[in-house]
Amino acid sequence: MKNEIIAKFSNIYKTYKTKKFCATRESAALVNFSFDMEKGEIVGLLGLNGAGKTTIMKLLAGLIFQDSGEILIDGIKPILPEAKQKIGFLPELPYFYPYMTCVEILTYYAKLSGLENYDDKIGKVIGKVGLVEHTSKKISEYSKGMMQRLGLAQAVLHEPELLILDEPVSGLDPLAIHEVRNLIAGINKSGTTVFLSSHSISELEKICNRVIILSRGEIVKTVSSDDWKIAGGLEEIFIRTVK
Amino acid sequence: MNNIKVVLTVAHHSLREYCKNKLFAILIIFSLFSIYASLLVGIMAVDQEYRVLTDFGLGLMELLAFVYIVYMSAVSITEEFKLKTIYLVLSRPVSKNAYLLGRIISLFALAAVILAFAGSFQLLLLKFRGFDYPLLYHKIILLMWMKLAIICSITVFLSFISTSVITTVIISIMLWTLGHFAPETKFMIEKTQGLSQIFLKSSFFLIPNFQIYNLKDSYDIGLSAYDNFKAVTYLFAWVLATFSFSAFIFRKKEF
Repeated sequence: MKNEIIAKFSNIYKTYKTKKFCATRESAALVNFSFDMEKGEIVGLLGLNGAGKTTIMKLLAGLIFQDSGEILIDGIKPILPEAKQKIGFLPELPYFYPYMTCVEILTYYAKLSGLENYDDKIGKVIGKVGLVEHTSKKISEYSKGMMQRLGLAQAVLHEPELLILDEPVSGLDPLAIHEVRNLIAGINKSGTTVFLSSHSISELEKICNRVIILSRGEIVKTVSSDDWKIAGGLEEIFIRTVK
Repeated sequence: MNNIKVVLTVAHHSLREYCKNKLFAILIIFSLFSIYASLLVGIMAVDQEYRVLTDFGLGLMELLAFVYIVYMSAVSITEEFKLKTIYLVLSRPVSKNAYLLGRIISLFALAAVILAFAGSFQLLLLKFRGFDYPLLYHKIILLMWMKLAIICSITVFLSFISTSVITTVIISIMLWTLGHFAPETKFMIEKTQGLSQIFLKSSFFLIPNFQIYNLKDSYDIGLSAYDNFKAVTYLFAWVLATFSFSAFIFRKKEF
């Protein structure tokens, strides 16, 4: 039996245009990108800098638009509010309003997500990401690891069906990485599909069911956890593919 | 989620953000100090103390509110782009129009807060000096707020098309200044011919006419019902036009 598709990319092309005086320079970020994501999976995006990972994440979050092709989240275009209700997004290095506390910030996001009776949910999510002891602190006093946890908290607050994480462990210390990894695994166990990008091969290897290897905006290989177990590790496959 | 709730949530959050800004505290202290200092000017005016005290305070209030409102209008949305806090807002079921409207409403509310605060202080000072409640005072403040609402909408629009905050602020200051010379521009249009007349005529429609809100220059006479209607319609027309242009650009914007 075929699993249900939560996100579908069909022949996506995306070009960034930079205007300089009278000339416009174009650089292709995604070329004919097609990919399906099944419900309940943890899918990783792996690629060198500038491979197009963040572009894919932003397209899925409805923050940018493709030049051609179609993206659907559970059959709905990502720019529509109905699709956004189904996703949780953690950008790379999330930034929050420094004068607020984590409860205030989560209340703001809960209201924007259309949640009713959000107090309990905020309490639960703060407990889940381990910020209980820091609820009275202003965001300006938070460390990078705490910001990342808060980022995760805001992304899962409204219990999305698809969690999009752009470099969730970037710049974190080993202990924080371990905690974030466990958090993501826990979220996935509750039925949420996770789509994450990372530079860290070992991280993706530990957590993902499937990994897409990107190079210059194109999918060069899709590997499953069985593939890298047979091949002796994801790193081997990645280096062989990208070199 | 219905859009009205989003608009109100964004507006409430933004107003809080503006009021928590250190500049806001400085502005409030400075404006209270300046209005208080107007007592000296009033005393020097001898016979005209009441009039000078009222006019000087109102002028100061308008100027200080204008400075903060224009600055906040120029940075409020662009700062969210720069710091990428907009990602976490627009990746939720929030329409760009609702977000923009929420931001603009919060700026209008900010103008009202500043004017209410400074106005109350000025009234207290007048009472302290033993003077009556000035004629049409609430109306002067309301018209002042309308002027600020127009310039705030224009500045938000400019912040979408200009390359820097400084450019946005400079253009807004120019429009604010020129907007107070509408009768003079009208006179010049009548006196000129040919290309100059076409240029002046087109500028007349591109620059808001703030003179219709200057009740403090003629508050012995007051405004007729037609003037009131004109002031309100003019406000709606400018706010609606600039909001539509801003929304059009914002809709196409990528982050």
